[in-house]
Amino acid sequence: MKDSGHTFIEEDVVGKAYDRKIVGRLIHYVHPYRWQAAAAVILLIVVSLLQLAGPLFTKIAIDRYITPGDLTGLFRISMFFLLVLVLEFIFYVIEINLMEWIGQHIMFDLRTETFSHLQKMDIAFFDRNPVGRLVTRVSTDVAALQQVFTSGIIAIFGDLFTLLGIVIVLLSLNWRLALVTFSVFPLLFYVTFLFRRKVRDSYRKIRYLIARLNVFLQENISGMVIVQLFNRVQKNFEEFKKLNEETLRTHLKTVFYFTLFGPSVDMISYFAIALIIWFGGIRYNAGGLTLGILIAFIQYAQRFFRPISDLAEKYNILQSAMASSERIFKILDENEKIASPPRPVSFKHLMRGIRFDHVWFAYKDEDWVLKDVSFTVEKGQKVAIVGATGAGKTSIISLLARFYDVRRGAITIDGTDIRRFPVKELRRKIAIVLQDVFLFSGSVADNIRLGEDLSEETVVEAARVANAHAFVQALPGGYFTDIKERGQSLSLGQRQLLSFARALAFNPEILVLDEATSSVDTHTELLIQKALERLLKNRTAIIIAHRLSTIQRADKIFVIHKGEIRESGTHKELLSLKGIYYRLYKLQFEEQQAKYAVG
Amino acid sequence: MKNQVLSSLKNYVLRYKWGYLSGFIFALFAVGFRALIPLLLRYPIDKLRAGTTIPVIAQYAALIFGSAFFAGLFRFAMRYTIAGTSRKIEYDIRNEYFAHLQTLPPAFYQEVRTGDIMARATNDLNAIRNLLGPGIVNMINTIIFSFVAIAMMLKINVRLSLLALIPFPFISILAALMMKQIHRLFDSIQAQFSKISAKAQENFSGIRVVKAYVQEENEITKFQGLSHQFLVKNLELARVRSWMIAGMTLLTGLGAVIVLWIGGSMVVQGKITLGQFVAFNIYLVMLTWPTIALGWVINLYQQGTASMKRVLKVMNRRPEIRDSERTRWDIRKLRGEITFKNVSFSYPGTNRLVLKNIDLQIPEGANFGIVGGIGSGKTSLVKLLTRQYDVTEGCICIDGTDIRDIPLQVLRESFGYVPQDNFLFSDSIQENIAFGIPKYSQGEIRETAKLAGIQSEIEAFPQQYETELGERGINLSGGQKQRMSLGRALIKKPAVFILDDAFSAVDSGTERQILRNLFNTFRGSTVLMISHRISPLIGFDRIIVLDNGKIVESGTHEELLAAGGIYADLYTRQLLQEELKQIF
Repeated sequence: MKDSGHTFIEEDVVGKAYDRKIVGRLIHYVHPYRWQAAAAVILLIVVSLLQLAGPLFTKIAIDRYITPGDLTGLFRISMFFLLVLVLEFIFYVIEINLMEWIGQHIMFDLRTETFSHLQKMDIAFFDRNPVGRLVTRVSTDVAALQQVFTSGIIAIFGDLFTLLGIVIVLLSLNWRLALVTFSVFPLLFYVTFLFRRKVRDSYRKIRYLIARLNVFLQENISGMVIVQLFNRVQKNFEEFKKLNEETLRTHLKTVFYFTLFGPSVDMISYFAIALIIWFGGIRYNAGGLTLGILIAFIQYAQRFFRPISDLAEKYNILQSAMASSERIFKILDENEKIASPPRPVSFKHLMRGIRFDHVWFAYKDEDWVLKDVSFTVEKGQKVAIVGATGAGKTSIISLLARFYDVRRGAITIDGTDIRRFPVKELRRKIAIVLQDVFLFSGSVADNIRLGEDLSEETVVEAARVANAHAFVQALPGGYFTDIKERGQSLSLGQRQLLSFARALAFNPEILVLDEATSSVDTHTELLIQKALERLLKNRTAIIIAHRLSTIQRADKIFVIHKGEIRESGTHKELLSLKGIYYRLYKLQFEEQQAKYAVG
Repeated sequence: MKNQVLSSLKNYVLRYKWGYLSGFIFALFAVGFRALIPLLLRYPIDKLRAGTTIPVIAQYAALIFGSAFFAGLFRFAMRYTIAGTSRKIEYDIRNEYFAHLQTLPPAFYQEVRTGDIMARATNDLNAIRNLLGPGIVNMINTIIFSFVAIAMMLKINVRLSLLALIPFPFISILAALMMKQIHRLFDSIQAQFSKISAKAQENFSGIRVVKAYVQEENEITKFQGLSHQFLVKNLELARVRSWMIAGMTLLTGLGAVIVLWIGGSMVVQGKITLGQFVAFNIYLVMLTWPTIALGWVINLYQQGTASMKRVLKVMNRRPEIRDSERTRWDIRKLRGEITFKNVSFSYPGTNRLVLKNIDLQIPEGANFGIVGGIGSGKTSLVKLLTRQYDVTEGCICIDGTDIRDIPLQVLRESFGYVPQDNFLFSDSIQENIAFGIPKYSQGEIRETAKLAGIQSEIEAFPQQYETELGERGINLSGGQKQRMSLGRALIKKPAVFILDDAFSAVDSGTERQILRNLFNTFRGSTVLMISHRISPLIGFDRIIVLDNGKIVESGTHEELLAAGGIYADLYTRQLLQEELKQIF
């Protein structure tokens, strides 16, 4: 969380409001909805025009009907006015909904595209990019763009049109009075942009201060014990107060501009009205205009401001949207690193075996995790890999599933380099059970079948074989019990059994298993051992072993030490060597001998 | 609770009563001047119709601008005063909230998630401020303006006023109803947004499983499903919003139609003048915004009071660990003789005893080591000693006084505590080291860094002791953080050192050196050290072995080895581990 505060500050850099390349790419997303967009623009223009009709009706009513005293005419035009209002209402409703429809669909497309693209990225990409940042891309950043489409680009047309409409109407009513009225425009524009800038600058400072305030608060909440035990309560309060004070001061400054803005604009529009009365009076006396026109002008003068102020606001929206789009496009421009080859070799069944052929691997630069590792697993064999923590065991799994690619050497299945298979086909043949069992939110059954279309029988059968059936049934909702995120409510042992069931349900030919190190109670341990036995039956398996029963049953054991295979053989052979394995055995496995007496 | 919410809101308003009162007076003036404008428009129109000279008209034009100017000025003064006042209240609440948080014990922070505590200081505080600022501004404005404008309209013509105002109650009702709907939809959109984020979060965290089981396509489908629901909900919101916005336009327009038709007829019939007709129209337009705002104010009130309630929930929480009437204020300094008398403990809200009948005597200046497996109660033991929690049963004494009777300040001053999770603050290195002392000199900092075995590393940084931690600056390694955290304890020169697995990321050679420094420099201090590694504890006065909340073995290293129990077993295994590390 401490981090997110900082990213907030860093990512809050305001860029350009208009970047041709980015806008070009964004417009590309409108393309599927171009007809709807065209319709929305037309509706917008119609609504803007209808909104301008009110003062015009007043003018006509006064000049044609009220002044001569024509009551029927007055009734007719009032009803006509009503009709226009109803039409405006209908078009307005359609227009708002249509605009939102387009915006939301574009967002949906973009969000799906970004998420789908991320699904293609390799594991190293996810190692590099913190999860939180990626989540921001598909959530907040896409949301920031939403405004561009719903209230941004299209609405700008509306504002410009309204402004243009007023100008045209006024000019045609009386061009002299119109020009006098327009003389306040520059002032209005100037004041608007001046205030916008002032407010934006102090907003930026406020955002920064609030972020700091929040980081401070967050940090103090997380470290409250330290603050209290080191008698820092008073001093930290003073620091908080100081930050708070600075925020208050900046706020008060913003409040000044903010509250001054509305009244100043009001003053300017009344200044325009005063001008209209004065100059209009002169023209009226000279017989150059009617009272109706004068009154219509007064009414229009009260409507200048909104479109101008909106235009300024849209500018800010565009600015932040550009920054978001840039971040999203950066993700979309990342290439897939681990992909199927252009002409892949099909992987039907495992015939002979798996071979690691002089494999070298490092996550970073030359920090070798595996050094020249070679070994063979024959079809049907169960192979155990043992070693101290950090010896490089887990990377063997990652490489086999092509989470990463080897740096040197090759991994082959039946003599074919695994990089020549379609990636998904390869992974479908291998079931991987990781040490940290990852559970998805959703029901127990969902967690066994994941997204596949497996029947309930298959799921229950898999759970039964994995010894998970009993505890699943005991859950309040059975297979439909919702597992909280990350499976907080299940015990470690239960989660392991569930991950076995998942692997069984997918019925793979090759099983790769990273046994959990954490100890479980004796009863669960026995359940796990039995389940494991069934899971391994008729399969080729590579197991990173932490169980005595596993190493005892393995056809072959490879001892990895500091990235290299140092010893190999059966349990008995290795013990008699009195080397690394012997020590590992005493450290990791011996005490299990006493705890769980298994044959 | 409801009463408390209102009374505390009232208290804040009363605290700044002059701000609100002057705001109210400014509002009266602002409305007064504003209400003049339509009248000032009426006369020139009527006079023009009857025939008048330009100087008369120019006078009115000047008057219009004058009133507009003063109306604007007072409106600004009113909004500025009240908005500023609401910011000051926000400032006050934020301070009070933080100060209160500082009194709450670790149990509170265990119970309530950081995010929730933060949300109260951000979102909720915002909602409260919105009620006390814009909420009150608009309420005052609406009430005064409606009174004045309606009075003026009635004065022009009663029948016309009654007819023209027909749509207005509907505007308020529509606004209130729709805003409630919008609020509800908005919440559900936010919830859906969280679901999308949660799904993405889950997918990215579990990407290995997704890929291993080739679930990419299925995951995309699920994600799309959530996104689609988001889309549907947003469209629903748009529908409600469109009805509201367009509906308001229609209703206000309806008023205008009525005035045009009925008012126009009245002008023809000579019941009102054309100028009055125009003035009436303008009053009507001016009434629109306050009417809409009324619905908005109702909403602000609902949100503001709900948020105040959430804030009060934290503020009402009484600090359990504090000085009381039992406190013996005559105690100024502690020597460091510690006694646990039959201490049992379970964490608040649980029944499981994590410590059972602990009896332990640590003489002043003694070195005690504590070992034991995960969950054996080691850390709980020191949490009790430092009064992060109070014992469930029995008592802990220092220098013969129950620690619950020792002033908290004095108690905390006498500990040099190095917790397991070494929490450092985003501040400079020297500020972090000097965290627990009021004043420090450069020499002291350097000396401490040397004792903690981190001097050369700090001095290799370009900014040395002024290097900022956390913020964009250098990220320290785990071992460096631990030694920083140790330095923070050393500089206090405390009576008791509590080292909770303080060297887990430091290599054993450095660890030995640091311990030697510590013992040489602070001969008189009592040391209580929890360690996973046994080797540094060799030579300690006594080593306690905890298992499942009980002291199961106790003695010197040699005694415990000879006993051949848990301790001896642990030691053999650690030797083996060391041996493995040595093999190349």
